[in-house]
This record gives sequence, C-alpha cells and structure tokens, in this order.
Amino acid sequence: MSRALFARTFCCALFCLATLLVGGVACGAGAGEGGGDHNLPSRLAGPYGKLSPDPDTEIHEPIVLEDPQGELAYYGPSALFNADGSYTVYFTAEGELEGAHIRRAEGVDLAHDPSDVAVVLEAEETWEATRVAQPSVITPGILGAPLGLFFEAGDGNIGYVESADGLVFSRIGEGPLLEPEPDPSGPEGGAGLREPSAVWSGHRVLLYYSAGSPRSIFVASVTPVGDDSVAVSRLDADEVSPGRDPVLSPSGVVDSFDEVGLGAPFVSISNEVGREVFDLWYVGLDAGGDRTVGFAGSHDGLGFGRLDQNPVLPRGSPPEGDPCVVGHSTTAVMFYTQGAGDARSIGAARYP
Amino acid sequence: MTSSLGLRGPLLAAGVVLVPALLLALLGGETDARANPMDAFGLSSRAISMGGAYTALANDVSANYYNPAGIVARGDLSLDIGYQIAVPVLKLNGRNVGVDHTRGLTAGIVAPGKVGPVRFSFGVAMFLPDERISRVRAMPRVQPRFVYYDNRTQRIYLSTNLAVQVVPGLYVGAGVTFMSRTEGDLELSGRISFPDPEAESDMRLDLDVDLKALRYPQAGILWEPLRWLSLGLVFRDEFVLEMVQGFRITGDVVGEGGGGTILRDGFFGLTSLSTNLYQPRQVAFGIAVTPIPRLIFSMDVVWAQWSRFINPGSRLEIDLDLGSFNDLVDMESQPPPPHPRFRDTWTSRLGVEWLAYRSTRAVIAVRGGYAFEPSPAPEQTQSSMNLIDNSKHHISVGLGFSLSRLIPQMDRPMDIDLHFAYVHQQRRIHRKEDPADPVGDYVATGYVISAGLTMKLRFR
Repeated sequence: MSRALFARTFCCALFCLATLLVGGVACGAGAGEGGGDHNLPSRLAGPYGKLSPDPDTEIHEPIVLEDPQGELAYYGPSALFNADGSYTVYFTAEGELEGAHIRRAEGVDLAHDPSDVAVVLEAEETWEATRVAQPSVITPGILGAPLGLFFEAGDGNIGYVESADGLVFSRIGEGPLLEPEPDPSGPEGGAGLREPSAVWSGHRVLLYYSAGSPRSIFVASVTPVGDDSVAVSRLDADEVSPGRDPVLSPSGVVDSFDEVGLGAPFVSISNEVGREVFDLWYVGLDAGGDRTVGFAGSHDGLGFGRLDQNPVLPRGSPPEGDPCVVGHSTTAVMFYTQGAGDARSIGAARYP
Repeated sequence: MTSSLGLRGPLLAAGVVLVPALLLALLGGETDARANPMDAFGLSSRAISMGGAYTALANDVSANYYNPAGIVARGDLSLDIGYQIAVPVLKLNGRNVGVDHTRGLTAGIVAPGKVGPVRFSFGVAMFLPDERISRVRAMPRVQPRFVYYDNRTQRIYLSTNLAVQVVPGLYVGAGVTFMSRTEGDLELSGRISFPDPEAESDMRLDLDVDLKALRYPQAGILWEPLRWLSLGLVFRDEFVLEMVQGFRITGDVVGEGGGGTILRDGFFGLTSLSTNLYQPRQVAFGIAVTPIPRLIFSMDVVWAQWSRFINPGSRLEIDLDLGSFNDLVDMESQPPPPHPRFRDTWTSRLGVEWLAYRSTRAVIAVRGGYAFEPSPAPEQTQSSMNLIDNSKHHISVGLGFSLSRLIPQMDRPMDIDLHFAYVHQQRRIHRKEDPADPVGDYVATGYVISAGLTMKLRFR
C-alpha cells in the first residue's frame, strides 16, 4: 500500500464514519430528552391543581376524606407522611348534635378510603366547651412525646396535648395554652384565637394563629419549662413599629384574593443553605366573601412577603380553606377544606 | 536553536511558568461559564490531559481551536480522529438536575503548502455530537439552569484556519469558527369556529425551521524563540447565538352553524427571542518550556469578557389584531429580563508532559493538568434570575503513545492519546432576597467527568 493510498483509505473511512454518525443524529438515535430540569429547587408554593376525577379510585376527587353518612363536616386537616407512602390525617369532625372533635384517619393515599378513622380528642375541659377543632401536629412534641397536637377549643382558646401513639393524648397544664387577649383594644382585638399552626424553629415551637379584626395572622413562641409544662409568649412581627404587629395582614388591595381577611395559616420551614426559610400558606378572604389559598414567605418567621403569583389554588366556588402541605423534595400534596358549613370535606391538590 | 542561558534558562523559564500559575490558582476569586463544547471540555486528548494549557504548544490539528498559528508549525499533513464524552453530574440542594452529557466525534486535518519561500497550512477541526447537531430550547425565565453547560454544549462545532510561517519559529494564523443556529416559525391559518372551536374549525399548520450557520473569527501567534521555549497569543471573538421562535395565528372567527363571520383576518403573533448561547471575547496567552529534554511545562492565562453576557431568558413580543375587539384585550407587555451582572474572568491553566519511555519504536508520555476557572456569575439573589455557575477546578491526566513503523508505509509515528478529566464544581450558596421567592435558597455543587481518545496520523 502506498502512502497516498493509505491516506485516501483513511479519509474514506473517516468520511464513512462521519456519515453514519450524521445519519444517526438525523434519525434522533441515542438522543436524550433534554435534561437539566429535573429535581429543580422549589418552595412548593404552587400553583396547586386539585385531584381530577378518576373512575378507578374509591374516592370522589378532589375529596379524599368525607363523612360516609354525610352527617358530619370534615375540615381543618393536619397531615403526616408515612414510610409506606400513605398519609395520616388529623382533622375536625363536627355535627349539629355532637359539637366538634378531632379524628385521625390512617392510610390516606389519594386513591382509597382511609383504612381506619378514630376519634382521638374530644372536649372535656370547661374552657373547651363542646368544641376541639383545627388540629396542628408536630413531631416530636414539645415535652418529648413522639407527637404534639395544638388545637382550637371553645370560644377561641388554643390548647396543646401530647401523645405517645398518636391515638391517646394527654393534656399539658390545667388551662388553655393561649387565650384571647383580655384587652379588646389590643392588637388581637380581644377576639378568639383560631386555626393554630405550629412548627419547630430551633429549640422552640412557633405557633401561628389567626386573630383580630380584620382577621390577621399572629405568632407566639412556645418553649418547654421543666418536664411537664410549657411557656408561651406572643411575638411582635415588627419591633420597629409601636404595638404588637401580626406577621401578615389583609392586603387591602382592591380585587385581591386576600383583600379583607386572612386565616388558617399553615407554616413549614426549610433549611437548604444554613438559614431557615418559612413557608406560609393561608386563606385569603376577598371583598365578595370568597376565600382561597395563597402563599407568603419569610426569612425570620416574623416578616412575611406575598408570592407574586397568588393565589395558589384557583379562585372560585366551592370555597377552600385550611391548607396543609406535605412536601416531597420537588412535589407536594396540599390537603385543604372544601365547601362551607355542614358540607365541608377534605380535598387534596398536587404540585406541580 | 540553542539557549544562550544554558541550563539556567530553561529552569528559570519553568519557574516563570509554574509560580504564576500556582499563584493564580490559589488566589483566583470567583468566576466561570463558557459556551461551546470546545470551550467547556477542550479538543483532543493531549490538550485536555494537559489542563487545556495548550496555546503555546498547539502544533497539531487541535491548534485549530487552541492557536490557529500552530497548524503551520510542523509542516506535516496531519489527520486526527477521536471520540470524547463528558458527563455532568450537577446538583442543586444535593439533587442531580440531569444536565445532558455531551459526546461525539472529533476530527480534523492540517494540510501544509508552500508558495515560493512562504510555508502555509490550512486546517479544519470539528466536533460532531452523536446525539444531536443542534437543539432548540427555551425555558421559563426563572427556571434554574447551569448556564455554562445547559444547552450550550449540544451543538456542532467547525473551525477552519489558515496559518503562515513569517520566519522560522514565528507563525501567525487566523480563521473562522462555524456554529449552528436554529430558527423556527409555527403558523396556524384558516377558520376558527366560535364558541366551540372543535365544531367547524378548519386550520392549516405550517412549520418552518432553519438550521443556520453562524461564524466568529479567531487569530493567533505562535513564537518559538528558543528550542526550549514557545509563546502563544490567541484572540477569539465574542459571538451570540440567538434563538427566534415565532408562533402566529391568522384567520377568520366564524359562528357555528353558519352564524356568519365574527372576525375577519384576525391575527395573533407571539415571538420569543432568547440567547441560546453566548461566548465571551477571549484572549489567551500561553507559555511552554522544555527545561530538560523529556519534560514539558505549559501554562495558559485566559481573559474572558463575561461582563457582556446576555441574560438567556426569553423576551416575548406579542402582536395582536382582533379588529373591533382590540379594545377588549389588555395584554401587559413583559419587562426585559434583568441584567445578569456577570464579571470578566481570568482563568489559569497548567500542564505537564513527561516522556516516560522512549525507544526507536515507541514513545510513552504521561500527562497531567490543572486549571482553575473562576465563575463570572454573581450569587443569584434576584427573584427572577437563576443563572447558576460555579468556580471550577479541572484536574486531568492522560497517556500518549507514539508508535513508529506500525505500518511500514507510514514514515511518521502514529499517536494515540487518552485522557480523563474531572471538573470539580466549587460549592456555591445562593440566597434569595425576596422571602417569597418561589425557587428559594439553594446550594449548587457537582462535577463533570470526561474521557476520550485521539488518534493522530502524520505524513511528510
């Protein structure tokens, strides 16, 4: 083989290989789908889409929890994610005759009816009257039990109980954890405290609740004292301004979804870069009386800013409330109350 | 050529290469993000295994990228063919975001010539991805993306150059690099029924996509003043690959069941303009010394003008003509994407080659390299911007086999070079100013592994 012949042969081989590769490319052989957009960071703020009706499931999407007899209103969910992929949901069951109590549903999986529903807390104390409602669970409890549960009781008190098994709860202290301010001219307006949401922040629990008129969201700090009691102190969201301020007030913006009132906070904390970031889902009330869910965030748990893309559940009937979000890295499920009055039940929505 | 400095000269020069390189590596601040596949991963195994410090060493086919002047330095007819693959594992908050790997064929040729006393060479080098020649991709403006890799390495690369020998030891070269650019238009025209568009609509779809070439110049000087010393200087110009995607609907809106024409010749147009790829203007200076016969040190310092980087986020232009219904439509115009505030960068590269074994039939070279690329991107604190980039530490190793008389007809050795490179992405934290930012804080980490081989044939 001469040198020139070898060079020509080599060039021909190169050309053939290149042709094959170009042909492969033209046919799309071996090409991936185009990555770089998997597992992207997200606050899981929304928007959320309600579960779509599916004839193959046992539930009536988007409703995941409802009274089989249709006699009780189910509302105010607080959910925990289980290792088997299902959820344990604590919620309020309320009827005309029996008042409001708290139940636990096991095995909620967004496709089947719960495997078990049990009553876990009923009104017993005078300050609870006939009503314990709006549970908010934390793990672990403030005094060391595996589970703690805050709840709304009576005429606007907030109570706290702990449990070793999630079924039997023991009350902490004699009276309510937090009562309405005695001074009606105070920042909470002497009104009842509603819809508690608790979250661990360092060595304390931050307890968010709605109060005041117009209704706004306030926060208090709860810390253990000894082995069997807790101390609560209300926090001022803005220490610069006089008086104690809520962490979030109605926007006052005409036609906004939260123009005239806020409530039902749900707070979670993430910490990706060494600082806590607070995620707050809440219910906004517009001037027409409609309510839906929005999102706000904070770097200190006190001063919150609203998401530009609010609300995170589409506005419209039926009204939604009491959000509770369970995040899974880059996806999330929101449990919420759908409907009003006795027709309330618990629905679910997904992100994204 | 002989050295007038004796042995001290090469050793001093080696120090001149090593000390600044180490200082730059140690003191380099934040910066990086480059563009085409060659910028990101390099070209040819020998150059990559020497950390990309090749501006003053390039005298083969890879000189088409590293220093166009180098293609005339040898005076051989050279053919290169190789294959290289780079696999990024880039993570946000500890989770792999799945940036595509880049793999493909590298090939090139250098053809020497002579006009009177003037020696010249013509060279071509290409990278042909075996997954896709080019990719069109537009992402939401706020979506986090690794700007250095992302879509940028998913394209064909072709560089052509011409170099001349000015005097023995001094070479100049220049050329043009071609990149692919994609434009696409989608047009729907016809009749749309109202209120149920499924009922009596009659629409025609036209799709028009062009793959266009885009060019940018480069030029270089290679000077070999002493037998043990060579210097190189290269300029690569800035270029921007813009992606234009158009979507247009034209037609009449008619009522169902012969309800008459509601709107005649209505028009809705949406054009998305985004920067699909940006390469900064670059100036690279390189120095290579051979302090002892079997050892080569090389160093590059590269300045890149990243301060002119353009935000790749889409800019939408909307055009609408609904006749008498125009007053009913109020579409807010989208503000332009924010300025990315990138900074110019200085990258330092260091390479070494040791001829570990040498006989009449074979030479085996062991190579290593290190480079530090600071990131030009600032911390991503703005709510509407997530252009992620990390400073990079490149560590590379390689082997070279030069085989003589493998084929009797070949009067030059055949070279086979292998490389393996690891690019460590320096951990970087991004904290958002807006407490309600929907993306939130994140940590960017990761690495890129690349490997490849190059076969070189040379003919007298």
